[in-house]
Amino acid sequence: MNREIMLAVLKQSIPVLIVAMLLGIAAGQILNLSESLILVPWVLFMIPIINGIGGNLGSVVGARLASALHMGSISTKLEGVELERNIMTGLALGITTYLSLALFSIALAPALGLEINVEIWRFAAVMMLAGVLLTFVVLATSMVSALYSFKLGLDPDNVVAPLTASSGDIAGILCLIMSLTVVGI
Amino acid sequence: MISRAVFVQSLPFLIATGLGESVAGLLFGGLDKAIEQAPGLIVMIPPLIGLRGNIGSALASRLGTATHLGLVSSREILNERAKTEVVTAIILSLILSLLIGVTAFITCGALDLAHMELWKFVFVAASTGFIDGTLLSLMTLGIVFLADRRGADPDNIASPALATIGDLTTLLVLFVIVTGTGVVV
Repeated sequence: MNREIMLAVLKQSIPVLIVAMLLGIAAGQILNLSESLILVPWVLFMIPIINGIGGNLGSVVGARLASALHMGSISTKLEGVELERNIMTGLALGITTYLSLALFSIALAPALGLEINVEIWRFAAVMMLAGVLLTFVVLATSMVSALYSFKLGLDPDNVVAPLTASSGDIAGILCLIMSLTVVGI
Repeated sequence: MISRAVFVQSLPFLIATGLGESVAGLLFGGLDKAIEQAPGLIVMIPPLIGLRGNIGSALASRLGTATHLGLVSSREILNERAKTEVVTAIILSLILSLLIGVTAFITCGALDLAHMELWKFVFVAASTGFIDGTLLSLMTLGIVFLADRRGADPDNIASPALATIGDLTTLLVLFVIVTGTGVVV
């Protein structure tokens, strides 16, 4: 066991992890405050799916934007064909993935013992709407954080993924609550 | 304008993530009664899941780098360096889980929300953090070494795989601790 390495890792990691923890607690308190809305098995079921896909989508697009910035194929002026292509691809991926998952969930619900006590179309609409809203938020976060971190001379590879993941968890829950309200649950 | 290559390469990965998260979602949905009976429990769930993702992917990328530098290798799985990394990740999990329990309790009090006793918050968070942290750190080590042995770059595989596996194991351990120990409900 190497004490020096251990202490260095602890010292460097704890501040970042504490910030991430506080964001997580904020997400938890939002859930806690909206308990009457979300304390239903099928709504709880959606939370990891919506947030997990959103987080991964953000890191895929973030990593691609970071590489493109490093290679100079997009500029930091928020314009350009390459930037547009990344965003459009991200949107297409988000819509397709959430739609597939909504369909899989509905098809597998009886086998999984998941009780959906609303009309099937409402279940699908809640997941799709929350997912697409979150896709917009995550894409905007990864785009802005990639461009700004690059402008500030930071390596976007180190900034975009953790920032998108932590803010995505809170945004995901807010998108879900908004979507439940719009669909009329 | 959509990049077809990126779309086709990323879609299977995103859908697989979503399916993995569905299992996590089922476990979350199964906690509905417990969440109702243990006020404040839900506050700890997002930060516990987030913590796992953050510590797991940082450990994966550190082990990946150490593999590239030849400091750890699949020929000798548990050498000094690998042991140090794994033990440090477990210590980090424990410290942060304790903080999650205490912060969840304090914020519930500050927001004047119904909540269980402090020791229950700390018991659930710390036992989940420790068991899940140990399990996941060892799994991370396993994945990095398997990737290395097969000639794949651990950096490309370990982090995304762990993000999904982490959500699943966290909810699984939490589910067992909350419903199985009889301490909380």
